[in-house]
Amino acid sequence: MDLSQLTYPDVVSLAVPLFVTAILVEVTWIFVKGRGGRYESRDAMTSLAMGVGNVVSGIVLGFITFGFFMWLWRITPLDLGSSWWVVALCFVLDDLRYYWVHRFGHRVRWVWASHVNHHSSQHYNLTTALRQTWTGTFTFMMIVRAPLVLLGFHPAMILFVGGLNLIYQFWIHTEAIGKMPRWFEAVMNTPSHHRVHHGRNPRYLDANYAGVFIVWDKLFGTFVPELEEDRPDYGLVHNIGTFNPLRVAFHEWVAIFRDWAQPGITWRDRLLYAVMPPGWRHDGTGGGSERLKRDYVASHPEAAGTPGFEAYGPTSASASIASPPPGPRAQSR
Amino acid sequence: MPLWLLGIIVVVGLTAIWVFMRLYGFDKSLKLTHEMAGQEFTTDNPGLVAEDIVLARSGQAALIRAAGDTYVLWVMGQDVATHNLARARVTEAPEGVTLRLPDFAAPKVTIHLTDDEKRTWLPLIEAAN
Repeated sequence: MDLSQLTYPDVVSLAVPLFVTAILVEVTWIFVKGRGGRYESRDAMTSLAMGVGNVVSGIVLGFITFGFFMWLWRITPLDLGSSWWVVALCFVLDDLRYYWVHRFGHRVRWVWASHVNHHSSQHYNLTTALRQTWTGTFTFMMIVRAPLVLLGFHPAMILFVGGLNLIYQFWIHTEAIGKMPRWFEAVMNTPSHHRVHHGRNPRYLDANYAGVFIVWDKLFGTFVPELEEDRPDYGLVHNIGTFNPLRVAFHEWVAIFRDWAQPGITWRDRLLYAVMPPGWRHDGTGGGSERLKRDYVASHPEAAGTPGFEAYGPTSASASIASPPPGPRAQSR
Repeated sequence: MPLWLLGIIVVVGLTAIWVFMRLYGFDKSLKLTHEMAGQEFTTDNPGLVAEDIVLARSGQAALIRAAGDTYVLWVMGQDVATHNLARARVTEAPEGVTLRLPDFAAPKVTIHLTDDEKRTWLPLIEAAN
């Protein structure tokens, strides 16, 4: 089959009117009901500006990713065609790809520098879904999609299902929906599961990376359920003090470059500042999510072994009491 | 979808969202109390507890002592941000004081203070360096 001219609709652009309408409905619902979330005008406008910037960066830099995929497409001998089951399989495998890219986005500072802006709002509403990165191309995470192209999925199809994935994730950024039916919560990513992902509570750090199917988190051991007694508190562990979209987009990149520029560190330190989890410091004064969880269990021993703290028993808790507090940039979330 | 049409939808949509938020009063700022300032500080700085709090009369900022350091906390809409004042520079401004912080995300913060408050805050901030 000649797939050189294969095209799919730009579903994200087509969904923009839906995004706007849904936000207007949510903000009105919260105003009328007095519950179901919080809105703050400058925070929301910053999120929307980040969304616009994400579209613009896609137009300006998208050729790099697409060119890379088309080069892979030319060298692969495999071609799975474009039937509906291939599109469905591509959607599922691309969601698995999303899980890992997202996990890297929280555990590798170079990728976190791009993803941090999505977590920089202290609110959790539909505008937060649109607070997207401007710098994703520079993380080189398009490499994680390379196996899909080499397996014979056309690049246009991969970008199409990626758009569907992004649209799915829009509606889960809300506090207006409590829990979905049990069968749905078991398989799909939901507002409840994703609220956990955006929580900066120690229990919820580095959990629920899923895009569409929550089964990936259950499979790879990163699933934490939302607990009634520990409501998510949104934002970064240490929040940034700006509504300026430019500063939101680039602050962690600048922080990496400043860490590289400090005197007296080795080239190995510089490499580790890029690839270690956020919060890592070359002198041991930093602290990532593990440290925050350990310290929390040390001061709340009853939390040991509960969801989000399964690996933090009383032994590991007491061992951390003597360690210094996390450094100022301990923002794994 | 043509780019021009997408542009129109975005501009009209964002304007509508902004107007709705203004109409609903979602542009009001948080007003801090001593207790709130302490809680917000600890939430934003895990492991630290506020030992002393100097709250601005406006309820929009506070100076906080914790673990031997001095921090500033300021309101951002319905939320707050905090920063260690070590290496901060402070200058007087007509509306209060201006802090210059070694932080790309928040390099300059203006705190609204009365003249009386300025006399209390300035030495505390300068002593933090």
